[in-house]
Amino acid sequence: MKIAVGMSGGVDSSVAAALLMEQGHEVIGVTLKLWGGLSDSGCCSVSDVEDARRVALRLGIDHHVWGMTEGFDEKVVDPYVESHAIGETPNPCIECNRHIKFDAMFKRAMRLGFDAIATGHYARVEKSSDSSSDRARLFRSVDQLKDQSYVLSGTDPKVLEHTFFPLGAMTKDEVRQVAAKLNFPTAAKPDSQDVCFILATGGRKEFLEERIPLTPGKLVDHATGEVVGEVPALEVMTVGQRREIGHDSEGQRRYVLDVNMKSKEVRIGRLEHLLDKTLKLRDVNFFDGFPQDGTPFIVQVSAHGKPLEAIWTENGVIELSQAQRRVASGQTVAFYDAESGTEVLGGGIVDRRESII
Amino acid sequence: MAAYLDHAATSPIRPEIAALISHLHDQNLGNPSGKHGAARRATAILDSSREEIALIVGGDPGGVIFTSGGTESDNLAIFGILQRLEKGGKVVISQIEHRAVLVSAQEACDQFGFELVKAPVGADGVVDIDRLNDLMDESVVLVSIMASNNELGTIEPISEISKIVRKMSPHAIVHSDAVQAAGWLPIGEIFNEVDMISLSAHKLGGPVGVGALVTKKGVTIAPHNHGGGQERGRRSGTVDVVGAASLSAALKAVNASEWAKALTLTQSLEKGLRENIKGLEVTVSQDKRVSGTLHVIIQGVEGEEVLFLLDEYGVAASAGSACSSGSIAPSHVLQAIGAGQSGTAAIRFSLGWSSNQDEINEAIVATTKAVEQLRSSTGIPK
Repeated sequence: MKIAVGMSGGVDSSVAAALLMEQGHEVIGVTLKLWGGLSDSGCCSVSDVEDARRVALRLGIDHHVWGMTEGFDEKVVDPYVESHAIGETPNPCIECNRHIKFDAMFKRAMRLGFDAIATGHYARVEKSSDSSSDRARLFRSVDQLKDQSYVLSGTDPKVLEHTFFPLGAMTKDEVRQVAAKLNFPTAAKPDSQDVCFILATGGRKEFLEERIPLTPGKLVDHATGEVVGEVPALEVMTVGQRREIGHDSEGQRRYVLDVNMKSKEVRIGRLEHLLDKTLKLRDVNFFDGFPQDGTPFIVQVSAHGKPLEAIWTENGVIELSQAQRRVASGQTVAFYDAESGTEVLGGGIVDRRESII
Repeated sequence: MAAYLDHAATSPIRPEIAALISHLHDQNLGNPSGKHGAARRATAILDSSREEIALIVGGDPGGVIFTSGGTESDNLAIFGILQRLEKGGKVVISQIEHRAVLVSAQEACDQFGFELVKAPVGADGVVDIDRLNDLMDESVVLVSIMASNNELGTIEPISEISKIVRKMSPHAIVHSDAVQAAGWLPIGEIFNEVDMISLSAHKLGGPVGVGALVTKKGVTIAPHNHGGGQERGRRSGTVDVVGAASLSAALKAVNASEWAKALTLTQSLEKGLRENIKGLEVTVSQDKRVSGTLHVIIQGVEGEEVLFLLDEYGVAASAGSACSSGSIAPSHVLQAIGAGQSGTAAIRFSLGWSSNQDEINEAIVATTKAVEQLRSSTGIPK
């Protein structure tokens, strides 16, 4: 098959390309140019492009840069800013996967005559031809620690049908061994961690400040209702956060329980106030249609969060079997099958709720 | 199948120049500033190259400053003038200058305290003479307008521009980036109108890495790099003697029969593309462009995707500007002429000394096939 492999120059995507070549596929390396502004990975991610090109040279494959800055601005950056503006905590990497890598890049590859795309994500796909299902199925990777099925939970099965994740059945150690054997110039390049368009120096606040007016707000003690302090920007406060808000009068840690842009208040309280058993979702998507009320699932509420038992109830509300720290609105919830907890069945976005306790 | 239609980015080296370079490298040439036979041999070649270039452009040998290419020549011209002037005047360039002028003019104006003014162009990419006239006044100290645009291939009215500048801004120095024009227009006529021109060998079938800034007598250039005082102190650094000879040879090799041949070929390309592809517009009409460049805008496809498929079919073309690749935003040139909207592909076919009808035929077939494939696919598999 002729496969376009998304390459960042890092170990994972480099090994993914190498493995597909070993399997006899015709492989072309593609690095997406997504962000036109400053980035910690070099101006306009130029260093990523150069790293990927060096790996492609080593593999003897062609390397192309595909410019997708416009789509990235429209589908990832602008919604990120808008989401923060209403007091949510978005996950731009998931939006990038959904709209850019597994949509814009995929469609371009198809138009250009490729049979499939591939990335170095840790997840497994079972094509419809290999399963009883009439659609491609997405599973957790073999390496539980590296599993990235959560950030892929919004991917259209039609796209997965033509997608390869060559690392899904490998552990990170095995991947590193392959990289070392192939003597990749970037074998030691660390995994990317943070949002690519946010600079470590300025952080979210500086990024948002340049784009929207930030709103100062009051810190309100949830137990007493008293105003106990102020914050310069409600937009960068996140539910569950404990940095920058100190301890209460009894020396207990305090957490952000809710960010309310209307009343310009951040409710803070102790850990026990943060715990919650229900999550209200919006933009819910199940690959095989909505489940019946009471259907059990395993859910995951953050990129490396632990799997939680939950039950789907009406109106997009899920009940967790045990109380958990509240999840910030704007975050993604991925649904897995209740039995094994390995197959992704759908996803949704945590919605804001007016009453929090 | 192979068609190389990206000469405006870089032209393959002409066989006679490749042979010349090889020959000169066998001559044990010394550093021209030395005191021995090898140095004198080098000096002789350098001097005669300088004289030949001066003769071709109609200038004085002392005005030929060898550089590393077009970008350095543009920088040397702009910084070299502004650096020695008292701050406060205006610098006028066109909206569609190559980034070597655009960026260095902005940088030099910021550094030395001048105001940068950009003269607008019409939808045809030609500098609007009336509006240029309105911009000019006695405070203008430097004008830099290219003789032909690298993306579109437009011929800019250097003679008219020069007349306006001489009349309205008698103290202004006029520079023209003639890097793209040198292969396609009588370079002597351009130099005659201005005070300085930038040249580059690799657009003409010479090697990459050598060019010249040619100045008229009486134009004083402050040095941009300092050191051993070569090139009359205006550009320190050991002069690339073989490069200088190659630039001279490339300028000599350019000739009117190549222009006539290229004109026939671009006409054939234009006709073939128009006949086969609906929603294709030629950006600059034939009377306003150099004979070697055809720039088209195609509706309903993305430029990067067209170029990818052309490459697969063995056809090398370009989006127009080598420096902006990777970006899908329209270039400053396309923005200036109000073109290059999202969902359109801007493609530059640029010809050169080696172009032939077979390449044109291949380009027509490949472009037609690429556009058909892209337009017929939504990107969603059945």
